[in-house]
Amino acid sequence: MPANKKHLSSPSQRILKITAGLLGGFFVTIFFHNALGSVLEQKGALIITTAYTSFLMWAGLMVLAFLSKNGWKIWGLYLLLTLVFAGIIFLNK
Amino acid sequence: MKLKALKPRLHNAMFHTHTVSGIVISFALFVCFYAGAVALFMDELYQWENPQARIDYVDPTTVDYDKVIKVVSENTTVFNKDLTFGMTPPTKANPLITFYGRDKDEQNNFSFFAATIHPITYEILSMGEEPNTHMARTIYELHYFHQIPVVGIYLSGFVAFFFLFAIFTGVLTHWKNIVNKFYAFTTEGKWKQIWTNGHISLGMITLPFQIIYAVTGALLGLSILLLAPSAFLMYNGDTSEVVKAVRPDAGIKYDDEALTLTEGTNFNTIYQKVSTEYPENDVTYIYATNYTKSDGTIGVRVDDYEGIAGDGIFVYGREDGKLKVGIQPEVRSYANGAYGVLIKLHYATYGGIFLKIIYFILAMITCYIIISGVMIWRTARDKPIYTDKQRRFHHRVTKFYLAITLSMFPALALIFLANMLVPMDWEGRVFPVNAIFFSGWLVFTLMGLFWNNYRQLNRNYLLMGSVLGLLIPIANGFVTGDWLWQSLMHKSYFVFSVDAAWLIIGIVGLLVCGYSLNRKSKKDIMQKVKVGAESERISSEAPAPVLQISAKEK
Repeated sequence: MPANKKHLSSPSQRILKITAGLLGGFFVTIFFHNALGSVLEQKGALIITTAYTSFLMWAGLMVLAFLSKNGWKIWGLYLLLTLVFAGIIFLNK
Repeated sequence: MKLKALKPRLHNAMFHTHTVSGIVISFALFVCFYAGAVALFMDELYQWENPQARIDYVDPTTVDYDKVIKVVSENTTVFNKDLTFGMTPPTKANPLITFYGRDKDEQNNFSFFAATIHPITYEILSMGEEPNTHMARTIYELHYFHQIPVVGIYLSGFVAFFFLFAIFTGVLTHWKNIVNKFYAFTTEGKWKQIWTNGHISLGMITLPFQIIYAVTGALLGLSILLLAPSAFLMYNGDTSEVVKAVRPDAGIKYDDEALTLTEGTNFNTIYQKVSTEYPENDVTYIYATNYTKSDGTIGVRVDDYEGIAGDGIFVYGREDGKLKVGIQPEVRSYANGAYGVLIKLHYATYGGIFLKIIYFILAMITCYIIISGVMIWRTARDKPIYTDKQRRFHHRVTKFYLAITLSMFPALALIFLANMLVPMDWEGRVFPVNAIFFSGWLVFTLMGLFWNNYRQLNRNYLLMGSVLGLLIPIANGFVTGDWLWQSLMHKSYFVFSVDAAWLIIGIVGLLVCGYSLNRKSKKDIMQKVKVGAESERISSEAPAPVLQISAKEK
């Protein structure tokens, strides 16, 4: 039995969630890891760790985007997180 | 035991995304796993693939590597010793030396060549832009879509990434039943149940394996997505710092204008130094950059193929012979070792041949999970609530999908045959071999579109693959004279095991065709009667190859 349509979101919401998961999730992942790296001395170890954690985190954030009720909110959350991490990178430059 | 289910909204959201992402990547993911599973044995296939390599094992410490460089440079004009070149010493699987060199013209266009060299006579057995046999390598390149120009590797990376997403959503979708379905692998009952039970229980068993491949595959394909932003955000755009973190030897800078070197250390000295220091680890590659310049280096890669951290790299200065960069096997820092682990996890080079066999089986199970997922998709939609048009669409997609994926088996047998039957001394023989493989695969797929019944489709491909597979040891025997019993007697186990594997695959395939797939079960006939009655209505338009039941069968 395929998924019940009544639980699925409208096309516009769906586009928001897909883009939030793919793009927003990617930005959060990248900026999170680089924010961590910006405070660390041993950046090499972090870069090699991102090889393992990045795609896991990105896929997790994509799942989260689809679990959310409102696509706008999840986009807002991801943008906010990206900005926070970007701020940390900027402060540690 | 049942686990607590997700709330209906969440469950349906996960279910739907799992279905959509799964269907979208399924074709490509199947190709990745199927071709990749064979490519695990790329080294082991070499002696079978290239009859010139069927010589006795030569101790790599007795080889004069500097003489190899000399022989190669005497025989070609396109060898620039200042660009990185290197060679693989003889191994048990491949007793020949393979040499890789490059040249650059005035417009900075690179040209490549590969040469195979006999380790005792130093005779050049083949030389050209491509090696004279490329069979396993073609299969290996197929598994990351190298044949698609430029974007192939990124495409495969995205397939791996969406595979990871499908794993996450799949686990969440089936969460409630994950424990009790684990014990519910069935081959009887309704098709929908058979597919679902297999999908869940086998999916659970292979879950760690699949996560390994999703993560490492995504990284190998899409590393640029991680490294490029890091270079900008942490190192002000200096990409070499990032590369150095992953591969310390790649961070060494070379100067094109450096002074010419009159005397320096050579390959043999470096080889002896490393192999006496690490007798347990084989030297897998020895290479040089800026060989004739004062800042030149000679590098050595080692691996014991047994430990998860058994690999290492040592780069020596050519002028003074001193170690410049070294990553020792086993004892090394986390930052230096973690990347090697990732590679070993992907290539299965940390537990000998038995680990590769386990990997191969797990990859085949994964292929089954991918197929069963598509079959669930289709069976769940084979209901009267869908319009005829929709159902025809579902059927067409499923058939096209099955034709592409299942025809890989006969196509694979075909490339083995083509590799034997296209004469070894033909100039540029790699192209016809590859052309036979890809066009054969295409023809097999198109044939499949005319078989309207999935059971028939499966049986026909199995039959074709088995017959072609049985011809492989025969072709090898006729062309090279190394019949099965002879390669066994001569203890050339690498050649023997390829022939024996195809013999077993062929016989088992024929037995399955004969005993299992030809038998018409009562249930099957019942279903046919039911579907037949219904399809009369559906197929009232002109019969096309896409219809489930053709006019003849009706």
